[in-house]
Amino acid sequence: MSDALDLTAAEADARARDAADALASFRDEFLIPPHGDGEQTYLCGNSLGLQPRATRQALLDELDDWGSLAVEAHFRGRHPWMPYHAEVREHLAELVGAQAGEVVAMNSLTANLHLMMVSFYRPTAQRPAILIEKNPNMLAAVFDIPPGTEPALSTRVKMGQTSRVIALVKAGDKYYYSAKEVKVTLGGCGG
Amino acid sequence: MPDPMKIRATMAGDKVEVKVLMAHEMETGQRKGHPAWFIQNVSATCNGRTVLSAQWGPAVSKNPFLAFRFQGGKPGDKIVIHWVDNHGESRTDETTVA
Repeated sequence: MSDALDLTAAEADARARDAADALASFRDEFLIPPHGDGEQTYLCGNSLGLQPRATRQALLDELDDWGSLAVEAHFRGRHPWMPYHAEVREHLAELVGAQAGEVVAMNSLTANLHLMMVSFYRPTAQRPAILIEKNPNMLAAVFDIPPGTEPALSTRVKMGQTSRVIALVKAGDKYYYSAKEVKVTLGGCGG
Repeated sequence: MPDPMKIRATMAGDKVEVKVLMAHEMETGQRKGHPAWFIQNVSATCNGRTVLSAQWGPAVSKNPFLAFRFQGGKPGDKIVIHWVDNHGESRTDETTVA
């Protein structure tokens, strides 16, 4: 019984909060899919949210500009395409809580990550190491390779027995390795 | 004083290829009566700029061989190779890029 009473109280509280919500009117700006006689309760916000009612007209405007101006719409459309990133900058800054000068609208997340890596990821030095798994001291050699020197080295090492030889490279903050089994045979060069 | 190194530095396209042969026993310390004795640090410079440095263990072969390439060198540049072993003995030898 007390549960039912609490639910009623909770619903009343929720309705009161909705009524006091200054942003509540924005609900009418979206198309909400039907569910039975009513509307769906749509909670998906991370991927494709609800379609804003204004989207259709905004797309039609662009299609009209494309149709009537063709390539010139890049510069002479209602919302010229060329400086589009600048047009949305102020709004994006508000959205993410930054200064307009700190925001730039670019490609998709994947392309942006790629561009960021290409622009800023500059490994300053590499540290390849040679490890011989079954030697008494596994670490045979470590090299510091400054920029400008090729990360291709050759040297010779001793092996007590057949073992995996591992080339380990540190590039940036990550380690990469490649291993190869090298056979050691008593008495020389056989199999 | 350890024996001198044999160093060759030649142009390979726009890069300098350096080949070094060092004279050292490189004892592993695994043989009875032969304590470990090996080159621990190696550095290479071109006109004073470090182009390679290395830390070695006793698994590197006797009379170690080392080959590497770097950019930004030209004929006449001075290549200096320096090593220090675990007894504190060292050797510095140089050549010019041919």
